[in-house]
Amino acid sequence: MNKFAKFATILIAGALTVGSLAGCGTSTAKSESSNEILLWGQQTGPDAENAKKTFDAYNATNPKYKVKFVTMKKDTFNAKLATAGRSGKDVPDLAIVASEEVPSWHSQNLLVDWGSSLDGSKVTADAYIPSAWEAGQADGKQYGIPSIIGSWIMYYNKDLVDKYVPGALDDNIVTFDEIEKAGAAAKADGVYSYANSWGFQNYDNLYLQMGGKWLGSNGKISVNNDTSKKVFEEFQKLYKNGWMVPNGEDVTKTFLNGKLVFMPEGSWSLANIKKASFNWGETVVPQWDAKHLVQCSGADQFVIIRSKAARSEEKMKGMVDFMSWMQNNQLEMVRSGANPSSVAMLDNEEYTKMPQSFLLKDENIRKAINIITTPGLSYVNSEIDNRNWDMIEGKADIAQTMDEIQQVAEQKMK
Amino acid sequence: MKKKHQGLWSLLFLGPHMILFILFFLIPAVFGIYIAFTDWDLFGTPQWVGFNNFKEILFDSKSIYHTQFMNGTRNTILFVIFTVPLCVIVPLVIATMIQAKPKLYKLFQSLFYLPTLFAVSAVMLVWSFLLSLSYGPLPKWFGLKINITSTQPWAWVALVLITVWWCVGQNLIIYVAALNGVPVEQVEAARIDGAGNFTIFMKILMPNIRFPLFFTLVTTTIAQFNVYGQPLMLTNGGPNNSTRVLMMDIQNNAFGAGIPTAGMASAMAVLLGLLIMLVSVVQFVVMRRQD
Repeated sequence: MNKFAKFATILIAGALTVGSLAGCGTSTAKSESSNEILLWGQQTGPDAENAKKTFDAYNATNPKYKVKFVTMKKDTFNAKLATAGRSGKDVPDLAIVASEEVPSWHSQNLLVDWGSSLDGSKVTADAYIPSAWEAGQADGKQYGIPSIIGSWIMYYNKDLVDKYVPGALDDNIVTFDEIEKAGAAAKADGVYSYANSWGFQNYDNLYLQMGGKWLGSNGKISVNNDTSKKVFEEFQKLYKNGWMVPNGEDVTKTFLNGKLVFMPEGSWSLANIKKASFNWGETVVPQWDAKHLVQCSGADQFVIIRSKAARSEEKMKGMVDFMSWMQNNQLEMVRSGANPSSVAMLDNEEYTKMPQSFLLKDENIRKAINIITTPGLSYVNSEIDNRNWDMIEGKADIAQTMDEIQQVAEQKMK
Repeated sequence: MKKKHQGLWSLLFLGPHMILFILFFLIPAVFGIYIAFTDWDLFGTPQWVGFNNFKEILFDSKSIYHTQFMNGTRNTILFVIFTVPLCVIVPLVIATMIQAKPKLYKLFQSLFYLPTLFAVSAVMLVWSFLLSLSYGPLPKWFGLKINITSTQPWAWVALVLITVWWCVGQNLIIYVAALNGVPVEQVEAARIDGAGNFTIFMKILMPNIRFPLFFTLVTTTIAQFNVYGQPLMLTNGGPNNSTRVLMMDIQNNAFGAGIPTAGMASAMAVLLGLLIMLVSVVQFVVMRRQD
């Protein structure tokens, strides 16, 4: 083998190695040059299927800009959106983000506001549930157009309610007093009256019901207070008396087995609940005071992602047209338990027959919908999820744990 | 001329590995150390802050990063203390038993090695199911009514036993190979001289396999210091952060929710790396002295 052949062999080997490494990178569909709106979502399971059906139906109307929907897991979505958004290259045109994420993405300068592109279109505030529309705002600008509303609600076993707390649902509102009464009456039969399957959802609702405020007098997040303590004392009481499903037990299974009276859960869990062999129903989350209703929810938002390549006016119009079409066509997306965000959907006959429609049918409940977008609360919620059982089970001091959670939120927001 | 040929052939064989080593280890390691001295959100330009990250992590008791580091390091060290001896002794005992070649010893060797082939996520999912209060057979068989993964000391017991079960095969293979290399004459001579099994094990087998043993001790220690998947998936660091190891905080600070604090995460990783180096050096020194 001569020198040249050896050198060439080494070069080829090196090039193959580097080439194979380059091949490891993922390619992302580019949308700037094509007649398509690239939409990223973080839906999975039935939600993803229903969303795809909806966008396929839009494409079937032959719009100038068709929607290409790419869905991925939440972690991947967050990482890819952050990376692409920061670089400004290979970014999607639109992304569906949770309402509480709008301030965070906005603060990282990744979003473009819908601004004047909405002028003269049907996409106006009065076309949406007010709280859902407002959840898309940041610094006085509209960064998100509402998609669907997902809520932390409460499922109940009608037969067990009639047995242990008859009349509790006469006003369709269940209070913590009634949950305690149900727990005391049902305990001897091995039946629970409450469950804590998602810590921060239960905490956020009860905190606001008890009059808690997320921001302190200095305008910064403040949760290490008496209200938080009171919230966890109430949960502790339910747990220590044996009225709450123990930590580690599958809550949905307990409910489906007829061993749980009231189950706070997501409206998105409807498909599971439909398997129940008993009479069941849906209502708002349990209330501290029936006269002061609070019902926390989230409204996914269509946001525009900042791109280095300028989007044409025509494409922006295509995106607004898509939003306008969505107002009347959210039916598929709400089949898995969510509620629509557009007013136009409220009269849809099929939707009004869905069990979750109670949230928007009743004027009082509709007004009680609270979509939280407080900056920094996501840090608190994440910590609550990690630590809530420690406080409930008495393994950690409530005040001290809330101090630590406060410290994390403050430092993360620096 | 012949030397030149050898040089080119060496380059040809080493080249691809060197490229991979430089791209995926050396450059990231040097960059990671640099990042430890900066304030960086992963996307913008890193801002040089000198030793500030290290000062805050080590000395600022009001900082969450100090709390995370102290708690994470403590739990990581506990994990190493609990698992390393078992991950060395258990496979050594099994290897010695296999060495005696009992019936079906090859089957048992394969069975013990099997868990090592599975990814940590798969192992932890299976064990989470087995220990689940609602679905798991183990709490039912043993009549346990507590949630093992959220109650101490059971959470530690579960973490340690599952880790040992998972990684026993790796060292087992090395020990079996090492024991096979022990001269049979030495063992037979000792037996003729009246040595029992324990004496043969301590005086003949152990000295003969001391280098593989030392190798596995160091590699197992390093691996267990980098523990991440087991507590993340089995206990999520609970109860009360008592099984939250340092790698969980490093990952969360760099890639978790919100604005990343990659500089702080890198500084923690550098400190963990220094700790691992220190422990490895101590192990080297002790072993050399004994040698």
